[in-house]
Amino acid sequence: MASPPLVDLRDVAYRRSGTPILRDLRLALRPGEALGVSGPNGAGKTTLLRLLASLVPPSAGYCDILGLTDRTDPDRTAAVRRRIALIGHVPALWPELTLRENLEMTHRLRAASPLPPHPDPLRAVGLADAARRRAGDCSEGMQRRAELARLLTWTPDLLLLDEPHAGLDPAAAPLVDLVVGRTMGAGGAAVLVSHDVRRTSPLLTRSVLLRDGTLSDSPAGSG
Amino acid sequence: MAPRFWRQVRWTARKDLRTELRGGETLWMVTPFGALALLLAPVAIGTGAGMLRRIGPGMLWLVVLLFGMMVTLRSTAADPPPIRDLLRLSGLHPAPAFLGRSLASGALLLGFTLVMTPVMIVFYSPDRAPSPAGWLALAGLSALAAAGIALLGSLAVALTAGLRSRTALAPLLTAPPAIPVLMAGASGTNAVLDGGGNITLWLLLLAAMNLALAIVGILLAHPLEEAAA
Repeated sequence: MASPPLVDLRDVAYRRSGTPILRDLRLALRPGEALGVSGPNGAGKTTLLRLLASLVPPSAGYCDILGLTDRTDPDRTAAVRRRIALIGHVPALWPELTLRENLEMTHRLRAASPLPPHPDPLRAVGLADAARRRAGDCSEGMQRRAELARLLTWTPDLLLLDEPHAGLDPAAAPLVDLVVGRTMGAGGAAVLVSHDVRRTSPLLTRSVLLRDGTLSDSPAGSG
Repeated sequence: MAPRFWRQVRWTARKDLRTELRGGETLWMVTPFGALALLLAPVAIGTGAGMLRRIGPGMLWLVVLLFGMMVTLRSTAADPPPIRDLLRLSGLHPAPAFLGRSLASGALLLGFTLVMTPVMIVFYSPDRAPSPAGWLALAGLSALAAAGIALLGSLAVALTAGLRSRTALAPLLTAPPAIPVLMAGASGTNAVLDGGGNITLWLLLLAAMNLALAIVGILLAHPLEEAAA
């Protein structure tokens, strides 16, 4: 018997200021799956990821994210969101803090304990020498690596990556596969969004195309 | 309340103070400009000792209120959207985040007020320096007033989060309800400098206002955050 889906969207629509962004979405994501979503600019890819992260509510339809179907209970909403990781196309780092401080701050919030010195997640992503540099002084690629390092301190049930290779040099590309593989191996699911599905990950189990706010099977087929 | 609630309050305050101290917006921009405003006002209005003595406390609290709004609405007090998303996905509850943010802004504002008060006394009322007990009363008054402005600022930040007009709208929302702080601060300081006034009523007014603002902020934090998404 198939595992129950971690994500279950049925006829979901999302409108912003009356303008339809997403329409008629039907999607189920099961443990161990990695979904690639491709589509042109403005297709609604980033909005889809924020919907899957439970950060924006659907305007219509049934939307179940890790068992969360409505967000009226702050405790329940926060508990589910803690199981989701989202790396957007703009790095979520405090520019005034060092890379290590950035990791420490979020780890302390999530785990309520200091970040252990070993293993050093910044070393794992090749940033050991830059740990004490302010994030605002680092290149975009280094910031992306630091965000991936943050994902080495815990394993989400739902991993959402928006253009994960943007700004990364080819040597850093396997880091994306590493965090995706860790999530899948732990029984979670991953969604990788890119305007070019060939640039996402060899670990994809299937791919879909998002165009004008609607999902369809990707011409690239399953990964 | 649960220990996690207070842990998140402390976490938010610590994070806000750390980013602010690194950025230095309050220290290097707001404080010098606030002191300059206090120094330049007599040049514009006149340097008569009697008038300066009369307007000193009012000028002090006008500067604290206006520059205090800059502190509470500073750029590091409103996280950009990617950071907001990160915090929501890290399990940060909006209510302790509101209180932690207010705590950090209140600490910065208290520091600002404690720097401005001696500047005002030296330039406006050098003959009315308060006694040690008077300094203590002024510190209590400053702490409660700073907390009031900080809570109002945090509420305005929460109400305007995600709006393009945030920078224009937030000060307009903060200023009118801050009038009691202005009145309590100016009247209370005047009473302390006069040497015999009782400021208990002003302290009680500020404490009651702060309690009401904290309750409103905690209750509205979650719906406001969801509405801003």
